[in-house]
Amino acid sequence: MHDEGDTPLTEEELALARRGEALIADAVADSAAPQSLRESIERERARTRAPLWRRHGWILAAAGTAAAAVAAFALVLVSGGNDAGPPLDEVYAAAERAPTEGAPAVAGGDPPVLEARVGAIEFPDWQEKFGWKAVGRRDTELAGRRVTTVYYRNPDGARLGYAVVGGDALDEGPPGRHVELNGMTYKVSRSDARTIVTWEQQGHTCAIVASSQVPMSSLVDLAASRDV
Amino acid sequence: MTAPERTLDPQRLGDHIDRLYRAAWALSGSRADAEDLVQETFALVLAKPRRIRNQDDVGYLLRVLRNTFISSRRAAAARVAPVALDDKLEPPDPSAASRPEKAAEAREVFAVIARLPEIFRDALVAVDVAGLSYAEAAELLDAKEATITSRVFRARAQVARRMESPSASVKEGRG
Repeated sequence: MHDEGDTPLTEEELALARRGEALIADAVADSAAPQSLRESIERERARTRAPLWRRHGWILAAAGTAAAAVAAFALVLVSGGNDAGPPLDEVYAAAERAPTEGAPAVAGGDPPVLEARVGAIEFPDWQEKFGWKAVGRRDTELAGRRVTTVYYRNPDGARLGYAVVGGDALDEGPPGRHVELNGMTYKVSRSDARTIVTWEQQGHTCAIVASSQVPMSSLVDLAASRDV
Repeated sequence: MTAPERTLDPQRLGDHIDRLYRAAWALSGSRADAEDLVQETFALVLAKPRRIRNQDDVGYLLRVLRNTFISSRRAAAARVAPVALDDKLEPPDPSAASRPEKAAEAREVFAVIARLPEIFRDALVAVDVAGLSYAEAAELLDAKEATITSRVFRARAQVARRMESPSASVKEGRG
């Protein structure tokens, strides 16, 4: 082990250090976080800026827990146990988060797929046909469901998250307008910051979330490219 | 005497995005990884109320960011075949359009910092990139203030040497 603090710096090293300090100061001054990152964090903050009863649910909800449990149990009995799953907003937020694992390996096939799947849905390899390369994966537990997201980047550096919710399709109707393509219905919505396509495939809720720089039609094309 | 605890104010976290982003870029050497790292850091911090003591917000956020970075590196090292992000897949740099030379130099500087030996890189990132004081950096990195000062100066020298002679190796110790 060296002890980096033992020996005084020479004059030459001090001069180098001053030049290095100036270079670093210039680099810091010339770099700022991209707007898309600010917007994504602001959405995360807004999502977690929930009402008091949500942020401190254990305090305020305690009084209602027993009654809610009874009601929920009754509902489960009546509905046959079908859970509602997470709100779509949380699914979209998961699709925008950072990957926690590397990209799934390419499994090949026609159309080509990756080594990642949810039930019968295999995540596609969009690199050759569409230029979107898989760059990461994340599995998130939301309301008792596993949401698997594979992230892709295109040559322009834009990123999208393709999320598939495990279990039955969610009851909540997705926001946006209908787009019909190849016999499938897609719901598309757009804000200043992001574009979302939501659809149901083989009994699962699927969503693609990308920055608003990515044309909506491109996302619908990607969604419709699935071999179903 | 122990400093009182306080709760991190989520409303003010947005003020620190630039500093965190630069620190993440200098740690990882990649703007795409930096975006992911900052996003993950904020998601973790915002997930529940945070009580902090003895640190300003940036010091706390930088600690979470550094821990997240270390965890992600460990996870990546454990994978059989990690997939590197191609340079051409880096997100577009908005500043590159108006000042391409400056943007290119900044990219090079951050890449050089990321390749420094860890102890020098972390000290430099804390002080010169994230803007912590030497005392705050010493607390963050669990080292003496004099040690941090020495590491920062040596790291600056290594950055200059690498930038002026890109073929020079980044040396440990006295460099």
